[in-house]
Amino acid sequence: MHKVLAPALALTLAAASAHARTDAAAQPIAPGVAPVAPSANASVIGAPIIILPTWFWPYFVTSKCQFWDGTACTSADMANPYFKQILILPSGFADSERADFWTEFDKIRNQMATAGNVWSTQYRHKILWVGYFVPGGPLNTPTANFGAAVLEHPVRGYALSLSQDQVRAKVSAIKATSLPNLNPLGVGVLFNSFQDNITANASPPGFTRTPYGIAKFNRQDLATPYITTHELAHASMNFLDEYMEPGFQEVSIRQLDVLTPLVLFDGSWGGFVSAIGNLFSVYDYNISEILANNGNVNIALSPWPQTTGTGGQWFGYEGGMFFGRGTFHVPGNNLMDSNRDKRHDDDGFAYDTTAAQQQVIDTAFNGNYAYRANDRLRTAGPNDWPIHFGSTTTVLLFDGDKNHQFHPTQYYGVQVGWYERIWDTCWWGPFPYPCYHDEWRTAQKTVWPSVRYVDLKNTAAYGLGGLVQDVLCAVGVTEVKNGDGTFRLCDQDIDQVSGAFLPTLRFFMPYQSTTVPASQWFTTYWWRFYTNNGTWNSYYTGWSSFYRSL
Amino acid sequence: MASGLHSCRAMLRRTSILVLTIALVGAFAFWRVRPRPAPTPESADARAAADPHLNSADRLAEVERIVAERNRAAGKDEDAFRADGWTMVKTDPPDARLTSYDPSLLAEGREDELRGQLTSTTAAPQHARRIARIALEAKEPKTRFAAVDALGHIHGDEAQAALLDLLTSGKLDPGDFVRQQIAPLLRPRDLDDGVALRMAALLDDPRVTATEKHQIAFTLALVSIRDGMTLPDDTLAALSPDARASLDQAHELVTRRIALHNRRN
Repeated sequence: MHKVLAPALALTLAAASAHARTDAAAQPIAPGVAPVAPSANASVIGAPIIILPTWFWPYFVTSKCQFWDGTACTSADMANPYFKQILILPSGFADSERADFWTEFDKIRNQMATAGNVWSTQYRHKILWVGYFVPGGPLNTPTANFGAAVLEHPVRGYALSLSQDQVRAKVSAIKATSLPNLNPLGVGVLFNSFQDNITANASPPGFTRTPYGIAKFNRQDLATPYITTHELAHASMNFLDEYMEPGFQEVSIRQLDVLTPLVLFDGSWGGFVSAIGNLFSVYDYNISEILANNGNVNIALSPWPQTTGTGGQWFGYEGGMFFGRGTFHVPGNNLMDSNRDKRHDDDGFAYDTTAAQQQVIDTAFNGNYAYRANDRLRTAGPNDWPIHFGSTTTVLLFDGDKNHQFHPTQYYGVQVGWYERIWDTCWWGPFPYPCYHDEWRTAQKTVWPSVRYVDLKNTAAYGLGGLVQDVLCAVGVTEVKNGDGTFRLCDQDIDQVSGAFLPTLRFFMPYQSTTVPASQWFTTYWWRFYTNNGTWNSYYTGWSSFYRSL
Repeated sequence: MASGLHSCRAMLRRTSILVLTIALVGAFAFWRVRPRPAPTPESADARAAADPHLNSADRLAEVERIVAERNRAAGKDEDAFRADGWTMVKTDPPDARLTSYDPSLLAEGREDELRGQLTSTTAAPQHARRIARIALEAKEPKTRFAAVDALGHIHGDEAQAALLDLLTSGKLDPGDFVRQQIAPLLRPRDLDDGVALRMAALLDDPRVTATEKHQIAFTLALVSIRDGMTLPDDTLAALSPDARASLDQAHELVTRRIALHNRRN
């Protein structure tokens, strides 16, 4: 009976509401309550002429916007930057399973709002839960939304897979046609599957430099709040995992730096790249920094990640982001950690938040106000600059917050200094002669950050492809561009793919270059820099020098 | 006899004169052909300006012309910066002791500054030995960590040698948190270079802990797979069975596939 009545009622309501709808935003009315006419500023569905029982609603609702307690939010709420949105999309749900999706949507909303002291519970009053139902074919079929599938992997067991590009395209389409104020902090795709022991995962936005990341989980994962809160923390807060992978407890991420010579600077860097045969001998850049000190904030490469100024947090516990050594996180049981391989009593899992995570969460929910300066800085070369490298010198700045999700660096203040030889007339008795003294000169310039990439040709690292693949999948780099399409990095056993078809892995760099018109031969120049993140200036780095030789 | 004696004296005199003459000629010749420093512009011009043939006013004018010319050339750097959009500002010059990572600053209460220099710059190879001293002598663990980390950022043999020496010096306790950062920073250029050979030898060295050996083996395995090569045959032959086994295990760890991201709690 429901299947007969639902379409009939849907048609009736659509006809009734078409006159009342003021713009493209379709808003639900709270079930069981007589709908009210839309206000001039709120875009909600117009008043239907029938009061409908609760169980009818899920059969034809396409989108919902709700506060954590289930009360409806409006388009005006969505437009209000005070609130942050989490969008839940379905895959593998047929139209007849719409109600099931909304049931799970409510479960996600409820559990994330009542999970201890995690981010989604702390700020539940500021989160708008937006669901949008898109019917589609079953998982693992060509008609599944976003190409979603549960893949059997020879090593990983089972993994959730989809095309992130298709998800982003859908989000853009929803924004363009239905919810113009849609602006998610994170997106979760719910797979219509009850299969257990599947690898849920998420892509932190920092690696893709997108406004939001995408989390994947299935209905079985909703048995506890763990998966949704954890994966959407990756997707929304850009958090990394604070536990280590089995077998890698004593391996350091710094050891991966032996692969850095394989990294190629692409054309985004400019001409100096081609002038220098071996960039690695001139500048100090590291894969470990590209992976773990690149806009993420709950993992650092030092227990004291702040390099300029004093103070800062203590990332005293070692381990995280796949590796047991070389990465560090702040003490405290928390959502991103695990009770496996604990080195300290308070180095495990809890529905809780560490100080480093809290700072990011507060920033994300308070207008991106930065609670610290972007102070993970280092001058990264060169030490000298022979003439065959070119007439101007290029210096490299390392900035671990250049790609910060919430307070990326807005500009750099760069200073270059040198000793200028100032000539004068001196006297030896009655005889004048030219003499000189050195005077310190400093020039300063503002440098705006520009997007820079490097490519790691997987063909070059083919023999290491498995390890590289594992590390990248662990941190959430699940897709890489491959020509006009994308390559789902984590879906395939790399041994089964010939080297010729392996794609290039492209990484956004936490480094910035700038040219310095230092052209005098046999001269030592000094330089340093600071950052501005829109709220704070950092302190200057120390002075570094480079020598211009012949 | 008297005439013979007279002849000897004369011969001696003539010989002495001849020797002396030869010596003088030789000395003169050496003086003429010895490598002389090229006259510096200032000394040449100074000599010109001091040329007694110029009167004092001309001399002064000449010096002033030289001074002005050199100051024009000297100003080119500043002009180039201004033309490129830079602004001239006033700052203090860098502290040479700080920028050269002078360990004696530790004793002068300037450890914080030194640490800031270590963490926020990339040192040059010639500073490796000094930084290694800081790793041993600094009071605060975060300074010692910064020193070891700084060595890891210096490319080249000097820093690698400093790290190897720190690891095997016996001056850092195996339980020392800072010492535990060293082995992962050992980075051979390839498996033929001296660093790789020293690392391989450490696999059998009792001064190195089991964890450090595991890390060293892993790095060697990474480089081996990266470059498609192995350690030299004689190096491999010199390793104990345990050391070779750890290399094999590391190779397997690098190439094995793992299940990821299973439920944690």
